[in-house]
Amino acid sequence: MPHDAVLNHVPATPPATAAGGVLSRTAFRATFDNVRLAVSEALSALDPLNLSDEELGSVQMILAEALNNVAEHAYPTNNPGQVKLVLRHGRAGVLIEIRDHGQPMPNGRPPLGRHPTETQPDDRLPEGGFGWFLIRQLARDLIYDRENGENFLIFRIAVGERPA
Amino acid sequence: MQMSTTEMGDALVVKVEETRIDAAVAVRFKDKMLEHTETTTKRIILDLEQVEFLDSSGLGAVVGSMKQMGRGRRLDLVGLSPNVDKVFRMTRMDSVFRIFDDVESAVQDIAHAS
Repeated sequence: MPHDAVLNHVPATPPATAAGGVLSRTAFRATFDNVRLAVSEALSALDPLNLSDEELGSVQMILAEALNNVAEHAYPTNNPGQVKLVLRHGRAGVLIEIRDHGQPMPNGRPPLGRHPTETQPDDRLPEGGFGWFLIRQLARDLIYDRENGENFLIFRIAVGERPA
Repeated sequence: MQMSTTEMGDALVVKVEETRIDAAVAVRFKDKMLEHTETTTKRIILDLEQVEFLDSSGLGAVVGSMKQMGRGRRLDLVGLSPNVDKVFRMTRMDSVFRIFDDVESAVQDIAHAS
C-alpha cells in the first residue's frame, strides 16, 4: 500500500503507544560487537526511568535479540550494513524502533516466534529458534514494515509506563 | 572467551569467566566446551556465576554443549543470575538441565546420589 495515501489521516486521539520523548538515537554497522555496545548505551539512556533490574534485563534481552537478528540475517556477515535504533519513552512504556536496509523478513512477515520444540517436535534439545520466541514474549504491539528497501521493526516494552 | 576448569571428585567444573554469553561469543563458547568435555568422562558442572547476560545464541550454545557431549551425558548448571535464570525459565530449557544454586550443592548432590 502506498504510504502517502494515509499520511493525512492523523487519528484524533493518540494511541496508547504514541511516541513520547526520544531517549536515544543511534546508527551503527550491524556487527555482534557493535550490538553489544549499542545495547549497553541504550540501557544507560534508560537511567532516567528508574527501571528495576528485571525490567532492564527484559529490555537488554529484547534489544539484543532484535539487533543480533539484523546482524545475523538481514546483512551478509562479511558485509554488515547500517542499523538505526531509536528509543522513545511513551505513556505505555519504552518504544523501540529498529531500521535497516538488509534483506526483508522471511515471507515479508515477522516470525510468529513459536517455541522451537513446537516447530521441530523431534528435537528435545533445540539449539536455535529461541530469538523470536523471546521477542514475542516480551514485545507488545510489534509492527514490521518495509518501504523503499528499508526494514522497520517497531515495538513496545511495557516498562516505565507513565501515569496518564 | 575466558573459561577455567577445576576437578572436584567425580565432576569437572567448567567456570565461565566472562559476564556475557551472547551472539558475539556463542560459537567460541561451544568450541571451548567441546575442548573441555571431550577428553573426560566426568560429570560436567557448568559454573555461570559470573555470567550476567545470556541471549538466545548463548542459550543455544549451552544446549549445544550438552548435545555434543554425547548420548546420556548430562550438563549441570550452577550460579544462574536472575537474568540468566529468566532466559532458561521463559524458554522452558530449565527442564532439560539440572540446575543448582552453587558448585557446592551440585557436588554434594552427586555424593548423595551415588
